[in-house]
Amino acid sequence: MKHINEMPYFLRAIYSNINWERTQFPSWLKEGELPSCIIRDLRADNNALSLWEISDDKSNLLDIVAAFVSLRKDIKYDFDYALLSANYLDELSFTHSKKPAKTAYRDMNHYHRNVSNLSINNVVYFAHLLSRHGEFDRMGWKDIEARLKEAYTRGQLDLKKMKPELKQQLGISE
Amino acid sequence: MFTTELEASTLYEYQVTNLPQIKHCGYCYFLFQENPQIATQVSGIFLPSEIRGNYLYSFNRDAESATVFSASGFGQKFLPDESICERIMLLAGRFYTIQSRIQTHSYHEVFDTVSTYTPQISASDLQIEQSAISIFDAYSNEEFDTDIAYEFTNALDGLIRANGKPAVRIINNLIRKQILDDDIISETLKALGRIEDQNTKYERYELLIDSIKNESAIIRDGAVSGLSFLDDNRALPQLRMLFETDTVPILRNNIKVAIKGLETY
Repeated sequence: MKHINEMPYFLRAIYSNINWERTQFPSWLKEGELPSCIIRDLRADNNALSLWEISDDKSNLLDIVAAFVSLRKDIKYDFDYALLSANYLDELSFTHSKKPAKTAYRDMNHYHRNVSNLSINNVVYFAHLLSRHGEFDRMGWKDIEARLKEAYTRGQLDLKKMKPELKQQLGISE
Repeated sequence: MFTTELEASTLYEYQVTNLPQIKHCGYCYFLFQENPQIATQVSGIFLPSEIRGNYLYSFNRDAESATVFSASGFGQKFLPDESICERIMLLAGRFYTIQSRIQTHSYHEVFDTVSTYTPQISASDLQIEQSAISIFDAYSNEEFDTDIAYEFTNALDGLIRANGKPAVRIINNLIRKQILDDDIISETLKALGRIEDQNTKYERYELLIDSIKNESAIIRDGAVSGLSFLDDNRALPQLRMLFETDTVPILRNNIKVAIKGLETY
């Protein structure tokens, strides 16, 4: 059993970390309630939530974010996310399994996880977990841009998967 | 005779000829009192106490001025206040400011009040404004955490490149009118930062700097991202000041990210 601070994290991409900021919750919410607008950040396709495993020292965090952005059209995009310590999922017997992603950043795809067999109650519970224990943050677009350029230089990007608009912004020519 | 498209559901054309001093091309007659159906339709806009008398809105061909006539009903004397006239202008699809107002009983003893309005914006600006509103409407229900943000940016980019600085000014005016949701304003600010058009860079920068003072944290956050995307170091002093004074913890974190990006690269 790993000590809690040696546990990896799970990353969930979110639209805006402001929406999860408790000081910005509507005043009509009762104690302990969450605003319904945040459910957009927890869309469960095929009853599964898409998460990424982040090492306990967060050393792969920027690469994972870069992998996520590698499929987009625009590099000028601040990436908001929430990190949840893996022990919270383990304790709740959520079923999470490896499901390789299909981003252009090949070496990062195996960090992708699916939390599957989720009922709506599970998703709501996950929202409460995230709100209570999640670390909400943002990765700036310039850090992401620099990391994608580095990955390109190292030959780690599958250029066929990248959109022409992003390649042009990164100065990548095939 | 020109007929406004807005007449179909709530208004009907009330043809009057030879009204003095104004070259008219159309009229809209608001039958608040006499037509219960119309009164119901406008009840969301006008208070019951305001639905008295009738109003005639007329406009000239180049939309350079408009006039609201107020007619008394049943021998009552009712003079609509300025706010009612302005709401009629909004109903008619234009944004006007009052130019002059006179009280008269001289026009066939029908109209009590004549209020002449001029548009707040010129006909060309009005066209830009309508194009901007069309873009906002088209994207108002979209989720911007996809490539929709890229397409939205392209749409605003096209509008700004085609119309230059007036387009930025008009977008700023629309933001200030508080008719747009915070989310779409926030995305607009991000898009204004993404656009790479040197001709309007200063105006977009000024708009973004102004928006970091907005009372909405979502809008301030959009402005912070927009300044980061604009990639202009002149914003650093204002961002540092905002970091010191903003009271929303996660927004302070986001400001720090933007500052780091501008300082490091």
